[in-house]
Amino acid sequence: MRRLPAGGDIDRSRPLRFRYDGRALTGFTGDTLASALLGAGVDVIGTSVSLGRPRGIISAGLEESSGFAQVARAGATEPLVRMSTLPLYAGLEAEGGSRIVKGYLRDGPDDGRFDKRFAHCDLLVVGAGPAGLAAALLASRAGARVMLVEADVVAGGALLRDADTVDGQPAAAWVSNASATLHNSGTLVLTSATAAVALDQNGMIVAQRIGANRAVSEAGGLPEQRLWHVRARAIILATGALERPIVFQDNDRPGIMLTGAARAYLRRFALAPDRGLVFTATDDGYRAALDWHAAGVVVPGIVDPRAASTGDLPARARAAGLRLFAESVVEGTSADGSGRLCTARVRGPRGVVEVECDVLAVSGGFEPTLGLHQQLRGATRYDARLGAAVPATPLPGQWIAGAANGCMTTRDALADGARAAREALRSCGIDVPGTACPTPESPALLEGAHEVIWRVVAPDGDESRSFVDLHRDTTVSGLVRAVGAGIGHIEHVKRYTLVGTGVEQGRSAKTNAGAITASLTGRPVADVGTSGSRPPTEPLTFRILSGRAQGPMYEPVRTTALHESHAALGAIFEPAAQWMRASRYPRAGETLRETVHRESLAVRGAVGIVDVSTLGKIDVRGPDATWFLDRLYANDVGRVAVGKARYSALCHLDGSLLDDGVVIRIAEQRYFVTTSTGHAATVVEWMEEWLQTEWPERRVWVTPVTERFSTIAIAGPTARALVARLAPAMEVGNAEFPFLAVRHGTVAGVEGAQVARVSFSGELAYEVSVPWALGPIIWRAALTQGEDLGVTPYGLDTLQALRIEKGYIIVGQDTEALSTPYDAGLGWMISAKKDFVGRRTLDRRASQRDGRQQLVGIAAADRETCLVEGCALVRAPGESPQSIEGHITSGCWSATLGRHVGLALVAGGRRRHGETLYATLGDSGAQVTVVDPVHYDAVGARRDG
Amino acid sequence: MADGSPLAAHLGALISKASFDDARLTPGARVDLLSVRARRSAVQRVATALGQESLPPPNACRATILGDCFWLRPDEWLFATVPGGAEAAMKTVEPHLLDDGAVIDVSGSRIILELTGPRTRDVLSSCCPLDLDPSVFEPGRCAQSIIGKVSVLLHLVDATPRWHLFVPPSYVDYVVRWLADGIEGARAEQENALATTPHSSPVRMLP
Amino acid sequence: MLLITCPWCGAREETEFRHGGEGVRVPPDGDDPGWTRLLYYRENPAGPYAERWVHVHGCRQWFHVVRDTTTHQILSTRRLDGQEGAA
Repeated sequence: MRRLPAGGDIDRSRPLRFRYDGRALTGFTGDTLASALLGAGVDVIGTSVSLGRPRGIISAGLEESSGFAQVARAGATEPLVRMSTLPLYAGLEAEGGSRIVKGYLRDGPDDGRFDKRFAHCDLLVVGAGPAGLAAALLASRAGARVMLVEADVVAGGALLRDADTVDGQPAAAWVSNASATLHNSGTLVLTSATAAVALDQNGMIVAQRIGANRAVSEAGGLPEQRLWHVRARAIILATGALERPIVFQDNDRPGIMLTGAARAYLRRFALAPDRGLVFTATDDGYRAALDWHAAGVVVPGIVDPRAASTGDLPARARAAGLRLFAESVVEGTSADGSGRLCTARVRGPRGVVEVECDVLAVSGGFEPTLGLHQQLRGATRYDARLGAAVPATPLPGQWIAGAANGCMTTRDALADGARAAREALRSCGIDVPGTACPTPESPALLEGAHEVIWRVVAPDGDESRSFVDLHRDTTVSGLVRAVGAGIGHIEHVKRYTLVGTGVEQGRSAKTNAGAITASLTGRPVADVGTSGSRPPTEPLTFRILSGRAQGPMYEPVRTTALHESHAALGAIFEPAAQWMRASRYPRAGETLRETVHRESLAVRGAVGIVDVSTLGKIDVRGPDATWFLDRLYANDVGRVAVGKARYSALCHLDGSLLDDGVVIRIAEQRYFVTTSTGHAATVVEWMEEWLQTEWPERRVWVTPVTERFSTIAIAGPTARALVARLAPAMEVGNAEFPFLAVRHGTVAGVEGAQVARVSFSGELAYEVSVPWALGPIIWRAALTQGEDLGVTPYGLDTLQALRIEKGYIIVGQDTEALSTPYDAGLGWMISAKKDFVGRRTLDRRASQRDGRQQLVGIAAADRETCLVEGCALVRAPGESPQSIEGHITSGCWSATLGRHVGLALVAGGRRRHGETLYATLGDSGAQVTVVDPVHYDAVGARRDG
Repeated sequence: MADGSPLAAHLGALISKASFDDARLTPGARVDLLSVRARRSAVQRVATALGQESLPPPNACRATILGDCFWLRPDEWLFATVPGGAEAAMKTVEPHLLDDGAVIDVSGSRIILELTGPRTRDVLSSCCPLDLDPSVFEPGRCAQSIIGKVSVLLHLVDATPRWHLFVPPSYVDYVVRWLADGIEGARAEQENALATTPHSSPVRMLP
Repeated sequence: MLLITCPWCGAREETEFRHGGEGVRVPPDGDDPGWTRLLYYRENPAGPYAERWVHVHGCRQWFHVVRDTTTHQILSTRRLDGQEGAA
């Protein structure tokens, strides 16, 4: 193609330089990458994916199944960008070649800005062609909240390539006035915005390209692309129609394009061939020949498989003196050395003629674009006149209008858009006065008889060059092979031949694929149908899906009020659930094991402090609070005296453990319950679920108060001395403040602090809870006032080691999904006197069977062997097949015991203490001994002292 | 937090760098918070005690003698009262609950962030799925929803618009980052005059 | 992605909710096979399905939903006490 000296919507005074496959080229403002390439004489844009055939641009819009490029962005690259809808910008760098239809990603992060926006409206109109614009105008005049999205660079759709006038204005002018009217009335009009995913209940994911001009994007901090999450009360799909190619031998040569594309390139981009031949099965295709002729292009003829059409357009062509090849088809083409189209072989009633041409415009007719409708399994039916699927019934809350609804003329599309808007608005309770709708001035055209043609049989029988899907290089031969292999269902044909699996989901290929399959299998086209459409309608970059949810905005990172205190002590942090917790406080030069060793010995030998603010905390109160907790927890929490605490556990209905924690009775009708860090939200939801669904009459109020209180545990043989200093007014002697007692008082000057004698280390311990923001006061006071007592802050690593030594479980780590309290060694807590959630299942024999996976302790035989969580335990290391007896659930270096110990779940483990098993570590396995879970201080003297 | 701001230093810097005239994020006033739970029988007694005809209906906020009162769920209201006022407020409410409700001091379990300016709807709609159009979300409305992934209570205080977001302290870092990033985006849009919502102004379409 | 009408808060995105599966009531007693069915068996019909959802990021209320499992259409949402939502 060549650029005409005048005309088109391009700005010749603003040239833009860009690069394609390393070549420096120039286009104009208003160009797309495709039009710029054609204007620069680049007809061959690359080679096809598997056959390596030269390929060119075949469309000027969404039908494109050939022109895809790899486009460079600042510091990144985007694969599979459709050239025909990518606006040209200065400095654009794109690659074609053979990789164009595969695409690739660059290693490393992509720092581009990709945004997300939630939007709400009464009416979402998808597609800004005649139907969409008519609908949006009407709705916006009626005062509705309207959103209009258009996949192309500009609004207008088919109006931009048609010469019609609307409401007395040239179509293009009418479109720009309509856009301005909409915009000024508050309608959000998005261009370069693809409705990609249809959501249930009238939602739509729209992917918009904003940084069309990269310079603007980089300088202004605008996002390159934005994902719109739209909710609308009603949706109008005015997605238009796509032109269907015709399959014939060598139909993939650069220079062969759709007739609508030929017209769009002429009208919008002032691009014309030297000699343009037209091959059309409908009257509409004649427009390309007429437009070319009017622009002074040599049109060697119009090939039409029908007998001479009686329509208005063919009559005009005849009047213009254009040569008509009636009852003729293009049965093949030839190319020059670079692969460009040279001639077309036209077969008619009087034989074959070779026609010279550099562009061949093809039209098999137009068919509705229904991808969004089909994504939600909207029904379609086969329309024999169009030779394609049309919508059967729109989905609830949706209307389909214009060409997408089979209204193929401008006049019908405008009227259908207005009709759909009226109906859609009525469903939202918005009344539309009047019946006016935009009308084209030109009278309706008389159309000739329709004839549907999908393929021209190759004269020599070689159909391995008759392309059905250019993007996937699927040919008629491929379909023949599929059918020959006994495949008949179109979805199976798709998977066997890959037809329609390309980035554009074979939009322009699937009707042909279905129809040709039908002819090969001798079935009606309507019975074979076409393969379905799945989201997204267009390929989306992963980057637009991840959007701004990156780095610290990806997942909430929760920190306690003591975070800065830990950091000041040089803590190393680790994530636990969403929290950042201090895992240890290494001194200079210490290894991990040395730090844990030192911290552990400090707790066992003197006193340590640890931040346990992440534990879930729940306030439960009300006249029925005792009854309620008794029904949920396994032991008799209802018999806990005021000022006392009890360790307990929750079970699911099937008897499996949900969580464990401490229940503290603050007052007669008031409890303070703790949960493990990872289960804080779960337990609150669990309580709410039971209260709301089963016991709504019960007067119990459950309030999560995790972030109301900071909690610090003070543990170790000298903990009492330290607490006595921090809380001088509190009686801390073992008699006045025994194990499992709870007191309230002033600690480090903080009034109303709660001090509970509970222990997760097995040492004498006090958990101090104060208002969230005051946590650092207690922490600092403990560090200063405990200095001479050897106070040592300890982290999660040491906390783990200490609790493993004591055989204290973490539900979810040392239990499986089916573990019962019996399995976890908590059978002692199950009350014999009451019913609770899970009891009924626990009482069944299966829940107490001997061979179940039961909690045990394990001790490594070798001093240096780490016991790795998740590692399988087997009877003998060399056995094949291995019989797996269980697995390690927790393991640690025990400073106290001077070796590695752990916890494990082992089949029938409770009766297997003393047995030797092997952890599948290293080549020969690591020998471990099954022992009691409590590795240290079995009688609990230290804790109770 | 040492300077008395409820925000950590790095967040303070983040929001002052991002904020501009049309979208400004600041720490909100400090408050004491009370959760009032009341079964149907007690709701009226509490309302009367506070001189109100009723407690706010779903997704609404009303000013009371104890400060702003927010509907949280059918039997729960949140009172934001003056700092140090929790105890007195509890004494006002508690006698009217009898055994049909409870009042729980939840001070400190949420921090208020204030977001003001004509571009704030753009900021919020970049991370919150609610429909915040002035035609449906009017001053005095509140709603519990999400910012990014976390629960927040959102309150439209006045038509500036001025928003209050009630955020648990451990999530403040995450929420502030989302809002600050949204503000930066809104500023870029304003500077580039990009149309994003019908309420943004000035507007111009990019090709 | 669903849009679910919470009986208290109105139409909200699915991300604000948690699915609670088929809404079953725990019988006060019953035989063992019945208990097994309660624990492990669900209807899973192709078509309208009565299930429970909870508005976890909103009002934290459980409610009834009838959803068509083949179309994802939500046929109704109701409060647990059976009343129509106010929203």
